[in-house]
Amino acid sequence: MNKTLHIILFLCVWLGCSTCIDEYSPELKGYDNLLVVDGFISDQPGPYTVTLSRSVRPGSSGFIPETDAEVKISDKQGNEVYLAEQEDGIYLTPESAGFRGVPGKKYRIEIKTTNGSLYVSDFAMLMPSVEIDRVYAELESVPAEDEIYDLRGYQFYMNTKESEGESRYFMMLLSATYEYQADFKVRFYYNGNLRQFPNPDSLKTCWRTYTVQNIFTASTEELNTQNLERFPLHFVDTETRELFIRYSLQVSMFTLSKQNWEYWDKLRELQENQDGLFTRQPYQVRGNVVCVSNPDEIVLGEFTVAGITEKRIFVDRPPFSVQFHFPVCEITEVDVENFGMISLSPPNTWPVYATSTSGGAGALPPQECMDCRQSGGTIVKPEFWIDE
Amino acid sequence: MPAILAALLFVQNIHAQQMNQRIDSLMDGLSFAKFVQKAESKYNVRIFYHPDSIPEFNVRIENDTSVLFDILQKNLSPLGLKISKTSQNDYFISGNKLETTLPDDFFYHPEKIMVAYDTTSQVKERTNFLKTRKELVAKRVVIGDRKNGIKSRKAVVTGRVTSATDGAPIVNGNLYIEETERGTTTDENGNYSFTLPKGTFTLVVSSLESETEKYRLEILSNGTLNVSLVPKLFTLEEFVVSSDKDRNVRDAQTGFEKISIKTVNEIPVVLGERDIIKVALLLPGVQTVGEGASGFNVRGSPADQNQFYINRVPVYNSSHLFGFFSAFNPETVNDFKLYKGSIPVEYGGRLSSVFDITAKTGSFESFRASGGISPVTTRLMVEGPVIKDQSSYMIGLRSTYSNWILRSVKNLDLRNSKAYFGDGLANFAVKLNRSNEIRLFGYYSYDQANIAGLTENEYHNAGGAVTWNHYMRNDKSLEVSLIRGNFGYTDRNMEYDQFAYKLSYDLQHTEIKGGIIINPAASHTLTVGLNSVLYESHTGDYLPLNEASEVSEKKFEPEQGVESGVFVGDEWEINPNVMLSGGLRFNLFNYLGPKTIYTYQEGSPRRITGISDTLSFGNNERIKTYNGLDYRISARYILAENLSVKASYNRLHQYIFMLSNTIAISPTDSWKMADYNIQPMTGNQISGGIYGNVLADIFEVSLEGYYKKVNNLVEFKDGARLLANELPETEIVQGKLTAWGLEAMIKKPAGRLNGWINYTFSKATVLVDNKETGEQNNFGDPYPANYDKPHALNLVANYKISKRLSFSGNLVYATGRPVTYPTAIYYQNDIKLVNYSRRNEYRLPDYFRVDVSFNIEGNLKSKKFAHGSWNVSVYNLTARRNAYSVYFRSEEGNIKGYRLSIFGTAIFSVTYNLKLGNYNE
Repeated sequence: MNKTLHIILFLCVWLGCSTCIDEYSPELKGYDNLLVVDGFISDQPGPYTVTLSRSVRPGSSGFIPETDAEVKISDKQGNEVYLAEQEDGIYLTPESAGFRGVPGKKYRIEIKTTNGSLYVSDFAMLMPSVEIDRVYAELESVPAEDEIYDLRGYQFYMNTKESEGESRYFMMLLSATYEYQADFKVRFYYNGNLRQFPNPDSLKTCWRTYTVQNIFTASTEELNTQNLERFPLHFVDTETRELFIRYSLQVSMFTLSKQNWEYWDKLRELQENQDGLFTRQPYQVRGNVVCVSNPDEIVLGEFTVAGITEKRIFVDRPPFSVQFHFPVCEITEVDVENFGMISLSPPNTWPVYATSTSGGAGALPPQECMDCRQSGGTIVKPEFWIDE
Repeated sequence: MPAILAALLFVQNIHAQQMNQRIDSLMDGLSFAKFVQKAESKYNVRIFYHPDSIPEFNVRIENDTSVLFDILQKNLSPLGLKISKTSQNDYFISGNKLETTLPDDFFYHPEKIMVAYDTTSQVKERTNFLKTRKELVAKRVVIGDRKNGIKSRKAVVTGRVTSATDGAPIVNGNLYIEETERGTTTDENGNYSFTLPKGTFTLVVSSLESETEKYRLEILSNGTLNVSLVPKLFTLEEFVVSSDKDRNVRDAQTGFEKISIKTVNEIPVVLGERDIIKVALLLPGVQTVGEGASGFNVRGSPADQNQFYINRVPVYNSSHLFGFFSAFNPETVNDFKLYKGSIPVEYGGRLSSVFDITAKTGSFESFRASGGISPVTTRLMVEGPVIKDQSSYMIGLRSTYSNWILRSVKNLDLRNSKAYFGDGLANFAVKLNRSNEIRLFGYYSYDQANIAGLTENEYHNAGGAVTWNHYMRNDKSLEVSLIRGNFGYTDRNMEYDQFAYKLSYDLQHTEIKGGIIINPAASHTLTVGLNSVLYESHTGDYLPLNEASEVSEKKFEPEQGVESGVFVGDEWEINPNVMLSGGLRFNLFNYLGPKTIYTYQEGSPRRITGISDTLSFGNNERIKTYNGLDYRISARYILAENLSVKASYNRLHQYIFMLSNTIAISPTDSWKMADYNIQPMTGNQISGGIYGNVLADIFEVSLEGYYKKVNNLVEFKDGARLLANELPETEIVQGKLTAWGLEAMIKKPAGRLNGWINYTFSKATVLVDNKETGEQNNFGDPYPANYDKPHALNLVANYKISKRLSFSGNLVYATGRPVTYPTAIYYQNDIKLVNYSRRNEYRLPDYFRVDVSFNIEGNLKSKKFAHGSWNVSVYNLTARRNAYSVYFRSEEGNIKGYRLSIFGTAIFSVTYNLKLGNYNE
């Protein structure tokens, strides 16, 4: 038999058919300076906030308020309430009027800007809110994109109570708060003079609250039931300190009209569905606000009318078998050397905090190693926070 | 015509002396190489030819002759080739006509020569004739001597050219002096002579059947040079021609490409899989939205305007593994044709192109098998006679054998995925008698994928065709086919427990097609026929996947329609210079019940809230009838022998389209028919250009332009949801597509170095602005189509380094496809959001790729059990990270851009191919 038949040992040096994702910043020459309407009213007590601003250039994060506009919320019966500008671009319903959304009523917003343009939204029905039954976390692992180990962490889920009627369209916004600690106690501080720090633990523990940037939408329209069960919310991994001590998640569930929901659902889809093989072309999502005086003018944002319910849960650190992989401060010789130069720190950075080595020598590691506030939190325990 | 070639290919005509060999009509339709092989094995003849000079074509044996010489003459003379026959039943096929304008004193007949001093320089035979051919090294030979040469300035060199193996004279051998660009040939006894001034010259001795020899002659006086040439092993050469040679200039059609599997085999491959669709992408006017995307875009049209056929069976999903590989096993393919300009009248129903694949017909003579193993698949093809010379089979199978590719892919989702694909086909041919032939063909392809444990998708294509060919007298022929095609998928989604669902889709295509070809006069070839297709499209029930799932069942009404066409076409050679081709095709499409139809308020966009009426139709009741007349006309005018101009106009109708709004075709895209609310699409294309064969037909050159307009183009609203949508019409908007382009192509179809280079400049623009309903995409402004790539350059080169080693390379450059990028940032409820530009306002970075591959043939021993070959390929040699997509994500409050590259590195792969028997069989 021929030798070649034995060559089932086919050789293949596989240098990796690597599908790769790089960071990439194309030059974005276009910029649309558009009016952004960001506001909602609900069945919860007011005051309600409507923020008017201009869209900003991609890559920047400024806030360009639209000031001195006339903002009015009205219902279908003709009742209306004018909003007052509290800060630049931030308009509030007056507390005195006791204005509060009523389920079953339809509301809209009217905006007149200083240049005389008139913007009006569609009427949107305030849907009866639906109770959140339960929010819970489960320990799960997901394979990591670049790591050899699986990422472990908490996957949050929610169940709702059975809704009634057309209350079938939901949007969930998540606000997360976590307790964390700086790695070292503050031993010294410098504010022109080097002093002993009187209360070494006072900057150690912080709470940081942030808005989860993912939009979650769900609808029971195509379900046999009127409740959500085990609906997955976000996943928090163990690559950061977030789960290390105690973590709290507040779920705000907006029960929306179908039209309002479609807007949020499109945003959700655009957020989620961009990195696969079968993506769609992204597009401009138009909200329910139009410019009456110039129908060609594009307005961003939605005037959302919602029944809102909220639920907050706390979770403690996962079992000790779960490993965390976040960077931890370590005191190096350089930090000890730097401590000698603490007096060179410019006044605008004062007070500069320092710690000490186990041998008692002063050390100046990065500030966030001692001052937890440097990592985005505050030392004031939030009012809602419940310790274990 | 340069004298070089004239001399090199010069062959004298020899009168047939012996009884002419008669040929069995069963050899009709064989490829030329097969024909030769068969003729040689069956009859006591030898046929000599230079493979590079003969394009690939199938030999036709007309009913009026069975004499081999006549058959060869008939088939080859249109290609400009001449046949000579010796008394030993050797046939020589040569290129050009006798050059008659040589100087009078150039040729001497041997008997007239007075050889005063016989100073013979005998040249040694080469003994290593099975060795790989190296570059020719000229041997130094001294002719005559100085003393005898004193008196004259010129010298006569005479001699005899014989075969090194048996000493037989080599007839029609060529002798050529490079310096003077002149040459002569040997007579029937192998004798030659020529006159040259004294001095040093390079003599090239060659013949069709022998290896070339080169000599450095130092001519001092009259003398003799006897040469023995080593016979050429023709079996080692192969065809590398990719289109019928004369087609470029002589055909009336515009926008036509034909590629043989040989070309496909040479082009470098990704992951070791040879792929005809990847080859098609190297042709002008054919574009893709990205690597790993299924289908392609021809001349600015969306992917669903192409029709794929394999042996008449329609294939509705042409790819495996989401589009990484095509669903056609290269082992079983003979060739493919792509009609992108003039589409013959027998085809209807797609606006942009017809991609017609011909599967191999099994050998009527002997059993053969071949196969291969690549990093992705193993494949096998067997063929042979059922009853010798009467019926044959060809069966091909291909399958993946592991998931390891996906596991090694870095992308998270893919790594946790499983995928499997396979395909098989079978082709049976039965020659009932001289005038009747039946073919049975079946095709099946299957794909299964589980992506990250979240979705599971299976899809398949299946189909079969029975074709009866009947050949009548007076060149009439009839063909009738019964065709069935099926495409379907099952999609299981378990991303959310409560929403886990299962959905299936199925499209049945049942077709009868008949056509007759008549030659009422010598200048006419008439095609008359009809076909009728029943489409049954069925979105299966949308069901909960398991017990945890609470999705409510959705039932979908099937839809059915019948598309019929009657066509008449003619190819009319008005005079040798002018040819008209074309015809008419009348289409009738009936959208049939049972179905519930919703009508929508006029003058406003179709939405669920705008339903004005509900109509119920019974089984097979006509819901809507559309008809349309297709005009297909093209003309050719020959300006000069090797130069022509052509122009064509095509109007077509399309009644079925794909529900797809992803950039690449997704495995859950389904097909939908024109219906009560959705109008059929119509397409008009004019194209024309100039076509030439230049430099002694070495190059085919063409420049072709087109302008295309599609009306009622099916587009989708922003963010349209098409999966399990009961009212797809509410997501559809119809618009206009305008595309134009210019395609320049230079092709060297044959030779040691062959290949092509083409450049296309094109534009494809979509406009959706329905004034009546106010429905618009992109604010009613035109936008570039997703696959619009203005500049595209493809270079394909194959070079035969030696008999056992060949190199192929290709280079692809294209403008990046259009994309939509952020133009602004805004907030809603503290969530940072991106506002996007107008549709397709930006472009991805340009695409550039270089691939190389080497084909290494196993040993070339003449008698062996099997022949193996290796293919070593590097795809994306420069490891450029070509962007498949660029997208933006909000991360820690910042909007970050990312680039996804499918093949972000050079990909090396090795494929082993094996076939039973010899290299050439």
